[in-house]
This record gives sequence, structure tokens and C-alpha cells, in this order.
Amino acid sequence: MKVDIIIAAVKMVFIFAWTLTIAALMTWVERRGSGLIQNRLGPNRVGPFGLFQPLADAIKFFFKEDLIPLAADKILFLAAPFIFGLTAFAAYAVIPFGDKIVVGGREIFLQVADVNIGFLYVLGLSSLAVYGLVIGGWASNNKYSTLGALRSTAQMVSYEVPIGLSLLAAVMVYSTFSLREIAEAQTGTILGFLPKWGIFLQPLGFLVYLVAAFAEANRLPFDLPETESEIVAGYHTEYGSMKLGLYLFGEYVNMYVLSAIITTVYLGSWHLPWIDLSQYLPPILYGIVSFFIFFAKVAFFLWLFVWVRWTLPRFRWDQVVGLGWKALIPLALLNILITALVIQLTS
Amino acid sequence: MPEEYQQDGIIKVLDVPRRYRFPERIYLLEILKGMALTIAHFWENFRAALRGRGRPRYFTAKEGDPSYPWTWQYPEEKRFVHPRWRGLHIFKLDNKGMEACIACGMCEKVCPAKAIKIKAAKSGEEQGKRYSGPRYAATYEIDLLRCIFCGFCEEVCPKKAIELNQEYELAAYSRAETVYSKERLLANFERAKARGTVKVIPKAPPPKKPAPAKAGAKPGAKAAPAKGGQAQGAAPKEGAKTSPPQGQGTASQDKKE
Repeated sequence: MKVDIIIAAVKMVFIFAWTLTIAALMTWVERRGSGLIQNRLGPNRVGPFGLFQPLADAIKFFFKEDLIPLAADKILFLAAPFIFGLTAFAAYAVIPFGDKIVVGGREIFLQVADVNIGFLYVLGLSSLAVYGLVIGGWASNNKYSTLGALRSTAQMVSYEVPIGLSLLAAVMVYSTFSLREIAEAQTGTILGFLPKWGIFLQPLGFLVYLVAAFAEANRLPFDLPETESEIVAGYHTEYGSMKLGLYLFGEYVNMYVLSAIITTVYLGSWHLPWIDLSQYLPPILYGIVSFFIFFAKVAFFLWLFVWVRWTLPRFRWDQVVGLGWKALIPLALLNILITALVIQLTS
Repeated sequence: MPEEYQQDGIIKVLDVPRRYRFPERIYLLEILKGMALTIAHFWENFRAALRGRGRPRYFTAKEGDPSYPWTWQYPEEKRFVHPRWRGLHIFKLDNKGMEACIACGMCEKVCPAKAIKIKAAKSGEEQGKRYSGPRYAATYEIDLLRCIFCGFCEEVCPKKAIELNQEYELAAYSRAETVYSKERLLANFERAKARGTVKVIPKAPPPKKPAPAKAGAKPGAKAAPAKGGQAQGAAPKEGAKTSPPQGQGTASQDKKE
């Protein structure tokens, strides 16, 4: 019993620290990556290749004046960034980040909590993240913030639905709500040559989810709550110091969580195509390797977020909502229909 | 080609004179095209960054060319300075090592920002040894916080005694440090000479007795405006001291009168 608690605590601390590190690193990747895409250099002063830039930024954030506008709703103004950051972190609890490690006959699953409704938990928390933006925008008592918050609401209403519908089709395929079971189901092949990954079972669902994930993470081309060039900084116009830091940081944690969900549901989680590594590697090594395979896939999607951001211009507000309602939702429904038909016909 | 047409007196441009095709309207292919472009830039620049500072193929200028459009990593890579750059002032010695300044005060007068302060003094015995003219600048101060680096002082100087040279890193920790005294300006000159960036080294005047030189100079100057074009020919008597800009030399003396 004691050992279980210790193991759980170690996993929690590890994944928390890991997510923090990756999120911090992503701010650096974002800035250097955008620099290289735009024929610039990006931050390269602090440490080797500018790697310590996030650290310097964090220190700067801590030393900034902690300003609360006079007209702001103080309690909500203070609470909003924490709601945003908290939901982003909490969502990661149920996502498996690797297969199991077997130590001394004890199976350690690389997952903080294997909840059998993990799917719903993740969906619920990622929807709650929007409250961080809306509350923050409203509590600032600033027209730009309010506009950002409004846009955030409209965007959430438009994109939570396709996210739910596209994941629903995946649930129909795997017939489980547990993320670990979904990950484990993606072994073997279909039609003899394709790896049995969600992306091949649900190509349309993958596409819809991917597009909606950009809106969910408030990333370009759907960064309407923020839109620096239109409404100053949107919901965090009035925020400064570490509260702003939490918002910016929470965005990257959100990206990490969404990438992890995509990887888990659609990209075979820790599985390599065609090869079952667990047969070739000793159990401990296999656990570690599976973690890194999973992370490599997540890293690709993290990079995709950055890559798309520096490629595409922003959609107009009505275009975003229109795309959500008029394209993604019908596509997601069509996807459900096709999935249901195929399941019905093949079983 | 964008199509132009007029409507209510306003010229309008129709960028896309056709309806978007289906693959364009579903965005996806176009997005992938755009992403291919950005990742090509990324990859090219990434490789260039790995090679140190290579030359990505998007840049047509050669490395070393001042228009080479790569970010200059400033403190390590110094900025390219053009020969006519107007940077930190230098207070020049002539080719015989005498201070070229004759303390005429032209620079002080012309300075639009009133950055220059001169106190003149008679050279006396020192003329021809330390100072080139009968008068010299006892103190000569340039306040860089006032200076706008217009270069008027350099243009107006009849003796080419001051020049805006190539140094541009002028930050200081106190206001006092930004005021350049004659000694510091002379030190700037020594540095510029060591770099070889001094534009003109003034020529020393021919060794003459101070009194006749003065007497000779005045008639020459007076003759100049009267004769116009001939003045150029008449000037050399006194203009021999300052060989290059004779016109300027005479003009400045006219102003003095």
C-alpha cells in the first residue's frame, strides 16, 4: 500500500515537472522556430542557443509589478489565471504517457490515474479551461478583455461540439472510455499493412479533431481571444507579472495536453508501427523507450502547433464560427454515421 | 494580373478575378502548400545556423556585402560602417603634429544643437610648434547629449580640424562622461588614425611670421567677393594654408567680417 502511494507520488511529480519543462521549452521552441521560419534568429543570448530564455523570462515575470486594475473584480481577476493553469495541468492526470514498467513483479503503469471515464474527464477539463479566459476577460473590466472573452465563448461553443463528436466516433471504434485501453487497442495492423492506429481508422475524425484542437488551444489561425493586432491582447490585456506568465504558460500546457490526446487516440500512443518492442527489450528499458516514443509523437504535434501558427494568417471571427458550425460539425456527424455503418456491417 | 476597374470615381482592384476552385475553398491543400514553404525556410535557415552563419539560398547578396540580410549579432559582429559615417568626433592634429584648430568659432556658431563650446586663446610662442594658427582652442568641449551628428561643424571648419569619425558606441554611465573635452577628442583622433579612418589629415600652414601672414590674408579675403570667379585664383596666397576647400575658406572669412 505504502509502495503504491510512493509510486503514485513519484509519477505525479515526474509528469508535473516534465510537463512544466516541456511547456517552458516550448516557449523557446516557438520563438526560435518562428525566427528561423521568418529568416530571423530568435532569442539566442541566454545560455547555449538561448535555451535558458524561459528561465530569464520567468525571473522577469516575478519581478514585474503585480498590477490589479481599480475597476477589476479582484477575486475573479486573481482566480482566473489559476483556473486556466489548473485545468490545463489537471487534464494530464489521466493520459497515459507510456506502457508499463515491470519492477520486481510489480507492474507500474506510466499513467497517473487510469480512470475508466478518462475520456470524459479530459473533455470536461479542457472545456473548463475556457472559463479561465472568460472570467479573466470579464473581471478585467476592460473593453478589449471583454471582447476577447466574448470571442472565447463563441469559439468554445463552436469547437467543443466537433471535438466531442469526433472523439465520440473514436469511442465507438474502441468501445471504451479509458485512454489506456484505447492506447492498448492500437496494436497490430488493419488490411495487413496499415498500423491499426486511430488516424487510419478515423481519418476524418482525426482531421476534425486536429482543426478543432487549434481552436481549443487558442492558437493561430484561431487565436481570436488574443488577437494582438485587433484587440490589444484580448482577455489578458490587463494582466501582468506572473499572472500573465500563467496564462502564457497554460497555453503551452494546453497544447501539450491536446497533443497527448491526439497521440493517444489517433497516433497509436507508445506503439511503433509493425513492431512490438516489448518482445525485444527488457521490461524496464521497454517502459522508458515507450515513454520516449510517446513523447516523440507528442513533440511532433507540439511542433505542428508552432509550424501552423507561423504559416497561416488569422481567420476572421465569423469565419471561425462559420467553419466550426458549417464545416466541422457536419463533417464530424458524417464521420459518426460512416463509423456506425462500418461497425454495424463488419461486426 | 489584378484587374482594375472604376466605380463611383474610386479605382478598385479585383485581385482574384475568378471564383476560387474547390481545392482552394476547402483550404487544406493550400494550407499544406503554405506549410511546405515555411518548413523549407525553417530547414534552410536551420542548416545555415548549424554551419555558423551560412548563406541561406533565399538571400542573393553575398556574405560580407553590407546589404547581406542576415541578423547582425551585434556585440560580437560589429556593424558595417560606411566611410562617410558620422560618428564620434575627432579633433585633428595636422601632418606636422600641430593642433589644426584656429579657434575661429565657426563650428560653435553653426552647431544647430549648441553642443560645442570653445574658449580661444592666443598661441603666442607656441604657434608653429603646438598650434598651427595664431589662436588656438584653450578648451574645446562637445556635449554628445546635445549633438545631433549633423556634421555641420565638419563642413564649416576652414582648417578641417574636426571630423565625425566612425566610432558609434557612445553609451556612458554618467552625464559628465558624455561631454568630450579636447584631450578626449584628441585621443579619439589617435584611435581613428590608428584605424586609418581619418578622412582628411589637415596640412600644416607654411612656416611664416605670424604678423605678415595675417596682413597677407586680409587683403586676399577682401578681394574674393569683389572678383567672384577670379577670387579662386587670388585666394591661394592665403589659401595655401588650407589647400582643399578654398571657396569655403574665403567664404568663412567673409562671414567673420
